[in-house]
Amino acid sequence: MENVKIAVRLITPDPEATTALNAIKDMRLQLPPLKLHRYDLWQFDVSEGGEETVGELVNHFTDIVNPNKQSWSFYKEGNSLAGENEELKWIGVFVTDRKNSKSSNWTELVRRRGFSIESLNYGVLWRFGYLRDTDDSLVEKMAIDLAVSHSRTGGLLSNPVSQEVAVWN
Amino acid sequence: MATVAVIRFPGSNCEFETARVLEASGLSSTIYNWNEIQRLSENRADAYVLPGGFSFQDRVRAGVIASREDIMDFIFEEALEGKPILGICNGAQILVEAGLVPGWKPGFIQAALSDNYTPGRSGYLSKWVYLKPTDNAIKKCPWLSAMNGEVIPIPIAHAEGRFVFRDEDLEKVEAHIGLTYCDENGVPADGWPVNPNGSILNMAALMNTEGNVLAMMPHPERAFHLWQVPPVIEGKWGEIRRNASIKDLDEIAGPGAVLFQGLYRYLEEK
Repeated sequence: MENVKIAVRLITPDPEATTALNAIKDMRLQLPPLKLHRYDLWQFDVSEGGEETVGELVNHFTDIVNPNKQSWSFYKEGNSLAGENEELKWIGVFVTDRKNSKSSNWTELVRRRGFSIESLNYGVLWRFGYLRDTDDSLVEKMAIDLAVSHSRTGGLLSNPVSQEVAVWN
Repeated sequence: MATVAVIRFPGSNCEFETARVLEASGLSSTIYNWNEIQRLSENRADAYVLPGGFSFQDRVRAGVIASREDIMDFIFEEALEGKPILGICNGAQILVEAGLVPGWKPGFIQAALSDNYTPGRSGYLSKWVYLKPTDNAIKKCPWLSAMNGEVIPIPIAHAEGRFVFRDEDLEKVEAHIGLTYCDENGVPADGWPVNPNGSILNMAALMNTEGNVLAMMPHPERAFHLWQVPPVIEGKWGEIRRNASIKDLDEIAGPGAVLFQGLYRYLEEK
């Protein structure tokens, strides 16, 4: 079985990412991220065909990628994503619901259409762009702090009661 | 006359009907925009309502962006003063994300309103449900104080209405239940259709420790008048609706009115 991930983003500037970045700026942090990108991140456990199967699936379901307004690429950890300025240091935080209705619904739907998918997991990948010379461990700590909402004033991107976060470099 | 402020965020869409039912309940209501903190602080109300809608287009997570707005500092202070605060649907999501409910440690996030999820069903859901208050909520919560324990039908319309708590907090949660989903006879049942969203303990409304802040997913303002109740629903209210004359439809209060009547009485007594 092969795990294939795709990252989907809006072709136009993403209003959700803009709103999130503005909310982060309002937190008046000492070192806020300079950029914030948002991607729908789909992970497929593919039993046959690997990336080819996922490519077919993406072309079939325009609810996963609407080509009129979204672009997509295969996601591999460590690689930069389209639109990322190389002068910045990028770090990703993957947010997913512990009980994920979108994943279970889509798994069923995709299987019903005959695609060789064992399971599917949907989440949101947030990519923070920090100054290039920022220390790696500090970048990771800041990204996690912003990703997990412990209180009204701390963190933003996930509710720790119902969601999980993972750092993806 | 007691005053109630209805707080409108960008994307709120139930502020007018909420203000209207407050007026119809004998209260004076005013709608304030989220950025009118000065005006609001100069005209402090006796109670506050955060109406339904899609504040900030539900960006990032339903209610979270609104919960970070400065006006929520003001609401926070008023809540800690003991003033009644009601969050309806998106307003409930804002209160949860602001850490005002359950409020074990105010300002800290201790609950979530997550995606609807019951076996075989998820996503946005719009339907009438039946609700029952807990005895504790009738005693503590101004909004529920006029209820006598009877079952009331009220509509829901949401995609993220499933109350979730950390496992270690579950023992404490029961004391915070305001309303539970049940059938038309008041019998609770896990799962669709009685519990429409998979909410833990069949919870439809969550209150803070003191009971003055209530976050509820159903829309009482959409069940304020009898004419709003569909004649096809089961139970006592369906029967009242079916037997009502045209005149009755205008004159008889609907099942959702009891929340606003409760607030009215509470504020009058104060």
